[in-house]
Amino acid sequence: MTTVAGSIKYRGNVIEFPLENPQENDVADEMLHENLARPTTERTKRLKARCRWKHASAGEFIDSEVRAGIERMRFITEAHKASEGQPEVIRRALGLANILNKSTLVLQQDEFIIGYHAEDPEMFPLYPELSYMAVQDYLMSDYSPQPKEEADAINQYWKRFSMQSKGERYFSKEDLTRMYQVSTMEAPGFATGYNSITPPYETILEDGLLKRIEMAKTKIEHAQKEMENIPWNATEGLEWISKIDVWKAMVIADEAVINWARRHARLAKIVAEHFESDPARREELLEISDISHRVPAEPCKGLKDAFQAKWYTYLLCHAIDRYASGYAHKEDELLEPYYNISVKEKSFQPMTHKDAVEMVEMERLKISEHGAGKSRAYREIFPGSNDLFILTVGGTKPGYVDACSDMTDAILEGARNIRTTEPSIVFRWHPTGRIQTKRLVFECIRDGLGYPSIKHDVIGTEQMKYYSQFSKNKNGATADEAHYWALVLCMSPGVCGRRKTQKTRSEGGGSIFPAKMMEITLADGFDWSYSAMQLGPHTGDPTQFKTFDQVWEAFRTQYKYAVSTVIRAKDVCRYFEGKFLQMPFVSSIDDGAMELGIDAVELSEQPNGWHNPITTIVAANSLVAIKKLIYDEQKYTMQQLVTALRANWEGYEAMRLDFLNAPKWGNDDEYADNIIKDFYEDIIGGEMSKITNYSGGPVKPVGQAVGLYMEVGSRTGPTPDGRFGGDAGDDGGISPYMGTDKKGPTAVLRSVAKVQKNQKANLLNQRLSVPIMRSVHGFDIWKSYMDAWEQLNIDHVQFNVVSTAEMRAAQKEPEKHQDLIVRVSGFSARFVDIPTFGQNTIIARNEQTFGAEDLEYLNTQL
Amino acid sequence: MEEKIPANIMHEELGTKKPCSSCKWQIADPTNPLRGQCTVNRNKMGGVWKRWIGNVSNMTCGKHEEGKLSFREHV
Amino acid sequence: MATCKECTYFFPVPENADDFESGKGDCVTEKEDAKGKYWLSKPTTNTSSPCPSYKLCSNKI
Repeated sequence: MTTVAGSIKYRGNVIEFPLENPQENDVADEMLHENLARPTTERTKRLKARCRWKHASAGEFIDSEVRAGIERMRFITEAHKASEGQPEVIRRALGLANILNKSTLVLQQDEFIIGYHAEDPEMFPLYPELSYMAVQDYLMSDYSPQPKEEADAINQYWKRFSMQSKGERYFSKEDLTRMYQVSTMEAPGFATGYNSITPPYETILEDGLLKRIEMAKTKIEHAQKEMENIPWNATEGLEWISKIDVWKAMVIADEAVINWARRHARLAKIVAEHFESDPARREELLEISDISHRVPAEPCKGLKDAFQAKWYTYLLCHAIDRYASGYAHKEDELLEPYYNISVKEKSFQPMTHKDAVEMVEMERLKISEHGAGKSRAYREIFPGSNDLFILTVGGTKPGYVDACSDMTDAILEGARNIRTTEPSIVFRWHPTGRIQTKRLVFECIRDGLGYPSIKHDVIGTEQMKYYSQFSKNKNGATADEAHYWALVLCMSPGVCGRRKTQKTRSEGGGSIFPAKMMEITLADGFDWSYSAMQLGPHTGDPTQFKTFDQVWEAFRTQYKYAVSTVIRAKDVCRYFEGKFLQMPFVSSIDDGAMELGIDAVELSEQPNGWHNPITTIVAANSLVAIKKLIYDEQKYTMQQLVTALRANWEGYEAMRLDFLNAPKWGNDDEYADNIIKDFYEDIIGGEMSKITNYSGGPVKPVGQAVGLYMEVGSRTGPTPDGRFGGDAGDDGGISPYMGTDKKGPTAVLRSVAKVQKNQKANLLNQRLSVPIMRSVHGFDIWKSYMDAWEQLNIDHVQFNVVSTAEMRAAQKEPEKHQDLIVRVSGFSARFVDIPTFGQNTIIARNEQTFGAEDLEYLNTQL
Repeated sequence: MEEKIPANIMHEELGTKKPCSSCKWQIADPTNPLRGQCTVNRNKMGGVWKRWIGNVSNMTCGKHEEGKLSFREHV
Repeated sequence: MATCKECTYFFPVPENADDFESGKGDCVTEKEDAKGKYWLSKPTTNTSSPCPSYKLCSNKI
C-alpha cells in the first residue's frame, strides 16, 4: 500500500491529499520507482533493457565488463612520433586524424543514433597526453588497457610530454602534495585530466564542415598573400604564421572528421547489405548510412540529421580529441529549428512528436552507455553514474521572452518516460515560462528523477552580461547573446552558440573544501587526522585566540591560500593547453577562432571564471557554534574544544550535543544566518572575487557538492558543528546539513535568500514528501514553492522525491531496485550503485512536508 | 629509548610482509596511484574516516587483512 | 597464403570514398555478447594477413 499524506487545516478548510493517480494506491511505497518507467516505443524499451551502463562508484566500475581500450592511446602516440618537428597545433590535428582514420568503429543492434568512442562498446579511451598518474592508476587496476605492456610503454613515452609534467614544474613539492590529497583542494586539472567544454554545436549543425574547410582555406590563401606583400613588414607579416598553422590544422581535423563519419555510413550500409535479415531494419540502416554520409559534412536538414551531427560532435569534443565531462548545450533551442522542419512542417525527415520523443530517449540511452576514462578521483565522486552530463532547457530569449517550445516538452517527456540517471537536465525558470512545460518539469521531479534541477533565469542571464565586461578582446557576450546560456557542468552558466563558449575547465571549475580548512584552522594549519602533515599556512595556536575575529581571520588565511593555489594551477594548465593541447576541430567550428586564427583554447572572448566551494556549511555551522558557545556564552574554552575534537568527541558527548544543537543554517535563524551570510559574502565569495584569471575576469564561487561531500567528509576529522571524524559533509553548496533543517521548506528558502553578494551560483538540495508531491495538490504546492523561490532571487534548487522505505528496501535487495534513481547533488544516480555510506547520507536528508504555515507563506491556492 | 608504536597504528616497516598494498582496507589515493588511503576506521554513524598512506608498500599495522573491499563498503 | 582479400568480411573501400586507396578495405565483423549484437569496422588492406575471424568467401576466390 502507498502512504497517503495526512490532511491539514488550511485557510478554514480541511485539505486531503488523495493520490493524483488512484492506481498507485495499490503500489507499495517500497516499489514506487520500479513502476514508473514507460518507454515510448518497443525499441527504446529494448534498448534500455540491454543498455551498457558504465556506472562508477568508490573508484570502481560496477559492471565487470567495463575496461579501458588501447586504440586511442596507440594512434595518438603513433602520430605524435611521426609528426615531430611540425607546429604543435598541426601535430594535434594529425593526432586526431590518425585516431579517426584508424580506430575501430562500433554499430549496435537496434540503435538509430550511431557512433562510439572506443573499439568495443564496453570500453572507453585513455589520455596519456594529459596525466601520467591517471593512466598509471588504470594500469594498476582491473580495468587496464591490453596489452598492458604496450599501454605502459605508451604512458612512459608521454610522461615527459604530458600536461602533468608541464604543470608540475611550476609548483613546489609541498603545494603539489597538498593539492593531490583532495582534502582542502581538488587536485589540478593537469594532474587529473578532468575537463569540461561547451562545444559550438550550432555552427556544425548550421554550416556543416565542408563550409568550415572552405572558410579556413580562404583564410590561409589570404594570409599567404598578405605575407607576400611588398615591402615586407615583419610587425604584421609574422603575425600570420601562427594563424596559418591554426587554419591548416582546422582543415586536417575537419577532413578527418568527415571521413570518420562516412566510414560509419559505409559500416551501416555493409551491415544492411550483408548482415541484416529484417527488411525494415535494413531500410533503416540505409537511412542511417545516408545521414552519416551527409552530416556533419553538410548542414543538417531535419531532426534526425541534427541528433546525429550533435552526437558525432559530442564524441569528438568530450572523448576522442580530448576528455571532457558534461553535455553542455541549450538542447531545446538548438534542436527547435529541426523539430519545426520535421515535426511541424514535415518537409524533411517527417515525423510525429512521439517520434521526436523516441529520438530523445535513444539519445539518453547513448549517453547512458558512454564510458568515461576518468582518473580515480572522478570515479569516486559521482557514485552511481557514468559521469556528469547536464543539458539545459527552458529559460528566455532576448527581451525575456519565453524560450520553451514543443522541443522542450519532447526532451522532458523522453526523460520522464525512459528513466535513466543521465543526462541530467536543468530547467531555467522564469515567470514567463509556459505552464505545460513546467508541468512536465514537475512530473520528472515527482517521479524521483532528481532532475530537472532549476536555475534562476534572470540571475544566469545577468551574470553573463556581468562577465562580458571583462572580455580581453572587448567582444564579450552582447545583451542578446547573454540569454543563450547553458550550464557548463552541473551548476555554472556559460554562453552557448557559435563563439565565446567555455572551452576548458581551466576557465571555470574545480573545487576547494572549507570543512577541512575549518579543521586545520583549529590546528595551526596542520592536518592531524588524515595526512599528518602541514596542509595549509601557519595561522596560530587556536587555544590562544582571544576573540572570534581571530578564528574568522585564521580561516580566511587558510581559504585565501587554497583558493589562489588552485586557480593558479588552473591558469598554469591553461597556459600549457594553449601551447600543447590545442583543439583544431573545436576551433574550426568556433567563429571567433576561425575569424582570428587563434586556437579555441587559447582564445578567450567571454570570461567565465568560477571555482566550487564544497562542504561550506560544515565550516559555517562550526563558526556559529564556536562564536556562541566559546566567545558569546563562554560555556567552553577553545582548549576544551580542541581536546574534544582530538578525541573525536569520545568522552565529551554532552559537549558534542551542545555544539550539535547550536543554531544551524536553514532554519531562518537570525543568529546563525547573520554569521553565515557574512561568511559566504565576505570570505567565500569576497576573497575569491579578488582573483583575476587567465581571461582577465574575476573568479566567483559556485557552491556545489556532487559526491565530494562524502569523499571530503571521509578525509575530514571531527568539526565544531558536532560532526564525528569521517562523517559526510553538507550535500549542497548552500544546503542545510542533512537533518538539521527543522523548520520546514520555507524557512530554508528564507535562509538561503539572505546570501546574494559575490556569488556565481549555489546548489540547494531539498527532499520533498512523496505523498504530497504525488497527491492531487502536488503541482499547485510545488509551483507556489517555485514562484516564491524565484521571487526570493535564489539561484538554484534541486529535489529528491523518494521515500525512506524504498531506499531501505533497495539496500536489502538491490537487484530488485534497478530503476530507483536519487539526486545526489548536481547529478542523479542509481541508488543501488552508490556505496552504503553515501546511501545513508541521502536517507538522512530531511523529507520536507508542507504545513499550513508553509502554504500560507507561499500563498498556495488549493 | 625509542617508544614502541602500538601495533594497530599505521607505521613504516621496510620490507613488511603485510603491506597496506595487499590489505583489504586499503584503497588507492585519488590522484597518485603509488599512495593510498586506509579505510579501516569506521565511525558510529557509519562514516568512513580515512587515513592517508604515503608508502603503500612499506606501511603496515595490526589490522592488516588480505583481500579487497566491494565498492559498497567504502567511499 | 591467405590474405584479407579473400575473406567474407573484407569490403573494399569504394573508389568515390574520401579515404579510397587501392587495396584498402573495411573489415566488418559481427559480434555478440550478453547484451546483444554489434558490428565492428576496422581499416585493413587486401594484402594483410588474416585475423582469427577469417572466413573464406567463395565469391572472392
